[in-house]
Amino acid sequence: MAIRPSKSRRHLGAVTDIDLTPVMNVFIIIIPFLLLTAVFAKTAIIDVYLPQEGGAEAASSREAPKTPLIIKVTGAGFTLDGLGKGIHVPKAAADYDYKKLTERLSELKDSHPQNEEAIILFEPKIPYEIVIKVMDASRTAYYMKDGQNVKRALFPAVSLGEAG
Amino acid sequence: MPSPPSKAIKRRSSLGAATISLTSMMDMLTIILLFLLKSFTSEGQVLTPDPRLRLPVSIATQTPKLTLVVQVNNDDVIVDGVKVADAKEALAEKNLLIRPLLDELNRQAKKTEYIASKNPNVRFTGEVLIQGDRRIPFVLLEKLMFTCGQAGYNAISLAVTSLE
Repeated sequence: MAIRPSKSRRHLGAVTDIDLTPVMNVFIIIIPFLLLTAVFAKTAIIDVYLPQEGGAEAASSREAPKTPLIIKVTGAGFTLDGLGKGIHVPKAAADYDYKKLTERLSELKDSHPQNEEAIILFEPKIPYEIVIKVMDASRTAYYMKDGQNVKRALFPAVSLGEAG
Repeated sequence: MPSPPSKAIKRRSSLGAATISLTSMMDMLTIILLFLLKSFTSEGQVLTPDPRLRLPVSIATQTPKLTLVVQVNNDDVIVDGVKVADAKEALAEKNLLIRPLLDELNRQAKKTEYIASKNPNVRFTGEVLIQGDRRIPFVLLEKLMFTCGQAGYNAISLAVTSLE
């Protein structure tokens, strides 16, 4: 014989629902908190290669097979030396012409595909922001090809120095 | 003459208290919560952003590693969260070497080497991450890099805000 359901069970009615309101409250608090603490600005790093002391001298004494690329950043614009001797990229209006520099370096990379190193020399007063921009312009080139963005490494091994 | 209540209203009132079904909203909130928690942990939070320090913007995408951090803005030079030198004094100095920074870096290097002698998993790699404000002049960066090199920290990386 089947057991008869207890009185209280009968009393509860057919549909029982969990009260979700407290959980909702917790969620609604947690979500704005997480949104506030989440950092959406991503940080990245750029590796810097210290110029090896004596390395440059040794290279020049034994007729270096690779002439390094030297970019001098002055108040007037970019002056290239070493590998890109003779190229001068003047300022466009008030700002440096990074696009033109990247174009010129792309051409240089075409004729010297083995070279990876670049030495960038800055005047002491130049702000850090511009230092990074010049490094970006000489490390990689982004251009459109067949409607797609193509990334090309130019001279990724960058070392920094002061223009004397 | 007041119009008689519509059929729908009559039906609802006969059902008693109306309840909203919260289940679908709970589903949505759970998904948002999981997404936020995941983005929170996958970011790693290697770098804590300082409001007085505005990193320069770059196209670099390399992700930062956990290393010794040297922060610098136009006022302070901070190593591992502790101010060690005044940036203005360091700038005014003729010498490239920042003495208090060198002392602190030597201390950090010694500490890491001591830990490395006890724990084979730790190795002194000479890695240091420089978080520079975008307005600092190049000469200050040069002094920092020179001092880091003098203390044996040769693998220098620069922190930037990634555009992507």
